[in-house]
Amino acid sequence: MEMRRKINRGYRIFNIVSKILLGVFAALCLLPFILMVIGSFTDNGEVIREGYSLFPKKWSTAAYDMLFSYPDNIIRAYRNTIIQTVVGTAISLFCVSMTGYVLSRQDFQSRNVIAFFFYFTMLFGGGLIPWYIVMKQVLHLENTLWAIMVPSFFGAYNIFLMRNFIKQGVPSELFECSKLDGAGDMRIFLQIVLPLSIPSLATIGLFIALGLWNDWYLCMLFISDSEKQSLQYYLYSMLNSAKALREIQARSGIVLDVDLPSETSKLAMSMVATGPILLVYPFIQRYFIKGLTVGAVKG
Amino acid sequence: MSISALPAGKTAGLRRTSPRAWICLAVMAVLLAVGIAVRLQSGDTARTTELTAQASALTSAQEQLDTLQTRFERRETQLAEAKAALEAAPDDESLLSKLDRAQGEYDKALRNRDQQSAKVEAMPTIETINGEINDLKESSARSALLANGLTLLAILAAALAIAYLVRTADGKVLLGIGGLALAGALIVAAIYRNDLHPVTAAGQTAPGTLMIAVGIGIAALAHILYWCFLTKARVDFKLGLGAVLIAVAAGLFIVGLMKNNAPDAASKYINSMSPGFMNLFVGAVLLIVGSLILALPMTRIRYDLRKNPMLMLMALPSIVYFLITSYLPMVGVYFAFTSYQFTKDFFSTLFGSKFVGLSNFAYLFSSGLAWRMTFNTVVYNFIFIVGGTVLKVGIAIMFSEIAGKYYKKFVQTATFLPHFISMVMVGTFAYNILNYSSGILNNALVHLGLQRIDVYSIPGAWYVILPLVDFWKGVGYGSIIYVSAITGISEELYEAADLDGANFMQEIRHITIPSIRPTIIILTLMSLGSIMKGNFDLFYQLVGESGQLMETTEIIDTYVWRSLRQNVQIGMGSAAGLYQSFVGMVLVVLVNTIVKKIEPDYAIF
Repeated sequence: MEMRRKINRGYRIFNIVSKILLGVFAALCLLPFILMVIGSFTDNGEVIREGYSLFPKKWSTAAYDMLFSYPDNIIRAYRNTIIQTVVGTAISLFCVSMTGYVLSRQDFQSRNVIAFFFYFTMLFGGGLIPWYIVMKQVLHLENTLWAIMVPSFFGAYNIFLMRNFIKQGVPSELFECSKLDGAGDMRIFLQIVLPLSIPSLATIGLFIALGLWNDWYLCMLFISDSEKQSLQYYLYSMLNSAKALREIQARSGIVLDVDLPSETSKLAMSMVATGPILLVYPFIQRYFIKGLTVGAVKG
Repeated sequence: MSISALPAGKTAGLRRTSPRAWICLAVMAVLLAVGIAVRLQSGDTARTTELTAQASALTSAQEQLDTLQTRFERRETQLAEAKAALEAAPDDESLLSKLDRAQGEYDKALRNRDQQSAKVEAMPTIETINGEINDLKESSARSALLANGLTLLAILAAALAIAYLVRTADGKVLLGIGGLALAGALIVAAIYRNDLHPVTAAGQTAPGTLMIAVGIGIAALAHILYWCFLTKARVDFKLGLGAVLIAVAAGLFIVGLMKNNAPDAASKYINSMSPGFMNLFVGAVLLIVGSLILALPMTRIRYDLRKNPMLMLMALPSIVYFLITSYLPMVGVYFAFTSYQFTKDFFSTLFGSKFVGLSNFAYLFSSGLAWRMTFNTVVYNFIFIVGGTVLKVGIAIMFSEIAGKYYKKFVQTATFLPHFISMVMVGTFAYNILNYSSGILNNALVHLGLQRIDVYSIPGAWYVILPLVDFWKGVGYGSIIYVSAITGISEELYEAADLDGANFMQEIRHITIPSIRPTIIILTLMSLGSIMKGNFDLFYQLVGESGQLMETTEIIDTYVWRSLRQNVQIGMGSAAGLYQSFVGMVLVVLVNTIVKKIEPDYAIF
C-alpha cells in the first residue's frame, strides 16, 4: 500500500497536508492537558494578573503544597473511587460475562426472549425520576457506594458485547465436548469460557472501570455524605464551591486570601484526579480500539 | 348447536364436542339446582318471620300486662284510701260516692289485668320461641354451607365443561355465545344497579363499575373464543387468561382512580395511603402478570427449565436486576400522570399520588417549555451528528492514508486522550479557556488588542462552544470505526484505479468514500434514532445551572434533572422523561425500519 501510494500523483501533497492537519488536531487535544500541568505549577498571582500561559514567568508548587498539607479529603476520595472501581468492575465483569455466556449458548432456547427482555431496556425507559425513586426507596442505596456500582452491574450493551465476544472466541463444539465429558454449565463457564475470554474481559472491564473511575453524576445524585464522595465529585465540588477549598485553607493554616492558590490549586486537584488515567492510558488504549470495532450490538 | 349446521370449511380439522362436556354441564346444572333448592327450602323464612312476629307480640303483650298491673296496683291503693277516709267520716255522702267510683275502677282494672294475663298465658313462652329460632338458624347455616359446597362443585363442573368445550368447534361457539350473553346480562344488571343507586357525589364510583368491567372481560374472552373458532386456531388459554387479566386490571385502575379523585378522597387517606391504593396496586400487578402471560413463549421456557436449569439459574440474577432497576421504573412512568405526593415507600408514593391525567403534559407543552427543550436537544444533537460524522470521516481518511508508523501512533494516542477523562475535567478546561478574567481565550484577545468576551452571558455562543467541546472529546475516538471500515476496502480497487490513471484525490472521492458510505449512513441513522437523548454530562459540566443561558442550553435531560433536584416537580419531570423516552423509542423503531430496507445486515432487530 505504501509503495503504491508514493507513486500516485497528488499523494505527496495529501500526505503533507494531512500530517499537518492531524498534527494540529493532536496538539489541540493535548493542549489542555499541557496547560493543566503547567498551570498547576504556575504562581497563583501571575495567573490572576495575566492569566494562564504556556511559558510562565514564575513557577510555584504552592498549589500542591496546600493540597498535600491537608491530604485527608483527597485520600478519602481516592479510597472511595478505588473501592468503587475495583469492586464494581469485579462484580460487573462476573455478572456481565455470566449473562453473556448464557445468551451465547445456542442450545438455550429462551436466549432470544431474555435478550429481548434486556434489549427493551435500551429502547425504552421510565426516565431518570422513577429510576431515582426506585434506587432510593426500593433499594435504599442512598449514601452508599453501592449506588455508584449497582447501575453498572448488568449493562445491557456490555452483555451483548460479551455475548458477541464469546460467540466469536469460543467455538460451540467446545461446549458440547465439555458436556459430554460431564461438565456442568457453571463449570463450563468458569473453567472454559472465562479463561478463553480474558482479552474480551479486559476490554469490557476497562470500559466499566473507566466509567466507574470517571463517575461524578451518580455521586451527585445519591451521595450527600462527604465521607463517601468519589474523586471526580470531590474535584467537581472543589471547582464549583468555595467550601471545599476553604476547608483545606483552614486546615492548612493559610490565613490570608491573598496567599491562597485559589486558581492553581484547582488545576493541581485536576492533576491529582486525572493522574492515574494519564499514567495507565498508553497501556490500555488498544483494548478500547478493539472494543469499539468488535462491538456491533444485535438484539 | 350442532357441528353439521356449520359451514363445512370452517369445521374441518376440529373435533366434535366430547360427551364428557355435556355430562359436566348436566352435573353442573343438577348441582346448581340442588344447591338452590337446598338454599330455598332450608331457610323456611316464613316460619322464622312468624316466630319473630310472635316474639315481638309476646313482648308487647307482656309490656301491656305490666302497664295494666301498675294501673291495678294504683287503683287498689286508691280504693284502700277511699275506704279509710269513709271509716274516718262515715256520714260523708261525697266520700261514699267516691268509694263507689274507686270500687268500679278497681274492678275494671282487675278485670283488664286478668284478661291480659290469660292472653299472655295462652301465648308460647319466650324460651320456646327463641329455641325454635336458634334451631332454624342452625339448620339454615348448615344448608347454606351445603348449598355453597354444591355451588363450588357446580363451578368446578362448569370449568371442566369449559375445558372440554373449548377444544371443539361447536363448544367454542357455545361458549362464545354463552359468554356474550352472560356479559350482556352483567352489563344490563350493572346499568340497572347504577340507576337504582345513582351517584350522588362527583367522582364517586358507580356501584356497577366492577360488574361492567367483569362483563367487558367476559365479552373479550367470548370474542377470543369465537375468533379462535373462525380461524381454526386452537384455543389459547394463554391468550384468554392474559386478556382477561389485563381487562380486569383496566377495570381496577378505573375504580382506583375514581376513588383517588373523589372530592372527599383526601379525608380518607390512612397512613398516607390513598383510598384507591389497593385497586391500583392489584391492577398494576394483574397488568404485569397478564402481559407476561401474553408475551412469554412458555414452551421454550418450559423446555429450558427442564433441560437447562443451570443456565436458567445463571440468567436469573440479570433478570431480577433488570426487573428492579429497569422495569420497575417503567411502572413509575405513572408519576407523569399524577401530582406527586411524597411518602417513604415507592408503591404508596406511586399509587397514593393524585391522578391528574395529561395535565402535566398539557402544562409542559402550553408553557412552551417542552418545545424549547425539544428544539435545543434536537438542534444540538443534529450539530453533533452532522459535524461529528464529517470530522470523524475526514480524520479517518487522513489517518488511514498518511505515512509514518510512529507519527500515526502519536496522533492516535493524542486524539484518543480526551475520551478518557471525565466530563468534570472537560468542564474545568472549558472554564479555564473561556472565563472572563483569566481565561486563555480572553488573554489571547487582549494580546491581540481586542475586546474581552464573556461567553457565559452570551446565550447564542453555546451553539458553537458545546459542539466544539463535544468534537474535541469524541471525534478522535469515534473515527476508529471508520478507520476499520477503510481498512476493509479491497486493495484491488485502488490498483485498478491507478492503472486507469486516477490521481489520489480521485481515488478518495470515487473509491474510499463510496466504499464506506453504508457505514456512514447506518451510523448516522442510528444516532438520529437517539436524537432525543441529550448529553447531560456535557451540558451540566459546561453550562451548569446558569439561568441566563437556559434559553439556548436547556435540553430535556437538564430539565428533568432540575425538576428532580431543584424545583422538585416530580410529575412534570417524569412527564418530560416519558415524552423523551417514548419519542426516542418511536424514532429508533422508525430508523431501524429504514435501515432494514437499506442494509438488512445492519438492522438492530
